Amino acid sequence: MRTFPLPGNSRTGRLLGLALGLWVVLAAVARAEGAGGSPGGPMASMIVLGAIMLATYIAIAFELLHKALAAMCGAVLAVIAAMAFGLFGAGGYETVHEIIGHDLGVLGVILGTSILVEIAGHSGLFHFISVNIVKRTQGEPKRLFLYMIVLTVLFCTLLTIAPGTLIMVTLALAVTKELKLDPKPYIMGIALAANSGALVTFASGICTMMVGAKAGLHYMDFFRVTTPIALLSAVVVWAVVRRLYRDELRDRGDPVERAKRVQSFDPWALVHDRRIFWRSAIILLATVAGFATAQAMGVGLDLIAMAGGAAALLLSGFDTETAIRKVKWPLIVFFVGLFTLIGCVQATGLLAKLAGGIEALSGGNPLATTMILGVFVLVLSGIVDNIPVAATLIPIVVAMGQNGMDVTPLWWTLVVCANLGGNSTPVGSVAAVIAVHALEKERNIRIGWGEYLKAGGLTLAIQGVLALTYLWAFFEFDLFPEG
Amino acid sequence: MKHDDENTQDISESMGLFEAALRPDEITLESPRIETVLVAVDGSNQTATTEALGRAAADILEARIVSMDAPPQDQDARETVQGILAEADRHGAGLLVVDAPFGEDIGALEMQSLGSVVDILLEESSLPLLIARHELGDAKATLRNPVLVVDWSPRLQGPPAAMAAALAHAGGEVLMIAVPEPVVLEGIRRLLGDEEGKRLTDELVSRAEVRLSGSLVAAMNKLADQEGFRVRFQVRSGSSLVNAVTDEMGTTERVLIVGHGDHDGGHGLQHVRELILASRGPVLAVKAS
Repeated sequence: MRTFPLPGNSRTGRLLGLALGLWVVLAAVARAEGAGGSPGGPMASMIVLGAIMLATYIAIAFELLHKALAAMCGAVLAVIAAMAFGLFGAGGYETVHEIIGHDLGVLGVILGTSILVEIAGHSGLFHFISVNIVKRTQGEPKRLFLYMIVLTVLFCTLLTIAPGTLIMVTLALAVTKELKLDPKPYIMGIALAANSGALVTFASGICTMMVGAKAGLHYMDFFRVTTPIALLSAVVVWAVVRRLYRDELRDRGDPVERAKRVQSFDPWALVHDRRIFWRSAIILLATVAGFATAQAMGVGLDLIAMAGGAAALLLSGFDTETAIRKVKWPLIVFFVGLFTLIGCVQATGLLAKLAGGIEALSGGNPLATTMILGVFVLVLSGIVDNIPVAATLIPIVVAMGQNGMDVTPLWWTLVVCANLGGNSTPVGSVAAVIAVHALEKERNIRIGWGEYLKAGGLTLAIQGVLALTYLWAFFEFDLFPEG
Repeated sequence: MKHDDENTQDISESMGLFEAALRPDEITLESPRIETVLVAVDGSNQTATTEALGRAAADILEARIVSMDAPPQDQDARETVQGILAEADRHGAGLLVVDAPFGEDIGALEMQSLGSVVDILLEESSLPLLIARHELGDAKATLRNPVLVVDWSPRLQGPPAAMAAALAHAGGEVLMIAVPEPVVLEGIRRLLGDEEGKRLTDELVSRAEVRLSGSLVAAMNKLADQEGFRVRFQVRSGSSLVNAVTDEMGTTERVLIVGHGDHDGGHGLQHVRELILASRGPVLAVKAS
């Protein structure tokens, strides 16, 4: 398996040129502003580190580099620049470790849940459940579509977005092939509904975990704030895709024959080891219960996630090496790089300045700030991976909080809009990428940007209006939980 | 985002699972009716192990046991085999137990062959043949926890699996191993055709193994429910069948169950001979065609 794509020569050249250019700018600015090699002024550091951050995001957004490598390069350049500008003060280089240390909680949650989800996903449990549910549809296309949307939300809620989507997309591809149905509406529905599933609970999506951990949002509060809008947005997906693909979802062929075919599906073929099957189910449920009660127990969610991962490795009989190898290490590397980069940029005061700018734009009105942030995130998350979008906005929201604003509504806005925002384009979310790639690989069917934008864009437009109205109502009627 | 390559293998694995569930083949696991176990001993130093294995098999299968002295090795092997088969026929035996010494019990040259009696029995007898190898600690526990080599041809998976279930019932464990062998690879390549065959990768082979074993896994899971035993299924890629099996048998005392039959692509008799020779534990060879 090739994990890191090797860039072509021209691309490598462009990137080296970009890095060299940034270094020249950095050196020139530092020399111009500081006498005898002393640190440059605050504006210079903002410009240089801001440029490094922007270049990193461009490299990620336009796939100039693998996102993990882009984040690492960005982090290295940012640390060098921050050292050159003397941004770390008396703390010196140790400040870099402090920056990473602040985000260990998020990394712990991702690591622990990755292991647990890997084992649960491979236990056959979710495959088993899904085939049993499909059998209940009798192969009727519209009912099958509805059940797939429901299962997608459920699996993404429990397994996080990537593994949940993967199971559902492969189910849809296998079932539609067997029943001779057009896979497009099912794949599109799953790709769009997955982002709704990702915001149901604290641990349903990477983006959700990042914001939740940084903001200290309570697990149980998600049921109050994000779960209803998640379900509502899934209904929008169901309605939009069902409408746009009504011809493809029309019942054709012999329903009796199809029902007979569906009844022959045998879910027991999916269970390779019942001990792993049951134990992973119990551990997964116990971990969810642990997340829900972590606050009351006075422990962090990372501890619960790591305990869940350790229990799964210990009790499932699943090979430890295989499970750990399957952790999304590129994602962890990406996070470490990104957090370091953002920490360095934060040290320049640029993000605080941006926070001030947003506040000025909204005239200091918290509701207007919430709406501006919501629209901004909804749009940007479709263009760039929603993780860097959230990662950048987190310190900006923190800065707004430090300026005295009640930022609780902003955190929830970030969670809702960053997840839903990925719906508009085929590169906006991991679910879309998996779905489009699997459809092309397995069935040689392409969903182009135009087609995706039509369904995703319309879905996002309705979801966006609903989400902003929903957040406005929470704000207006003071329904947000205490921060 | 370059998630494509990262997800390709996971997509393929998951697709293989679903394909196994969605395209079931007809697999019937008929419980073998074994009323008599015939133990043929030749007075070698493996006699005690062979007898213990025979007693354990008879006990588990609730069959009666009949012992016979097979003529010494220096006699004509074919004559000896005829004697064993005649005795089996006379008693209505459903299982034969013989020995083929292993390791330090025999010389270097003999390690390369099974002994002509076992060789001829494998070819000529349609009865399941339980072959004692090295000395055993607990013969009954060994038989109760079989390792079942899953043939890639669903047509030939039933009889060995039914035998494994009969031995493991009430508390045992069947470990089913499917290993994509070069011979299997060739078979799958033929199935896929020229163009697809060229694109055959390890992940596709594993996927095909999962797919081809799906019906058997389902049938064994259901039988395990009724009969109270545990089933595990593993696909071992990247090593030969002999290596995969000896790895597994090296750590635990289990009987190895392998089917063989007159068919293309699956585990032929030569394959079974190699497995028996490599196995330290007892081997149960079941004719499946």
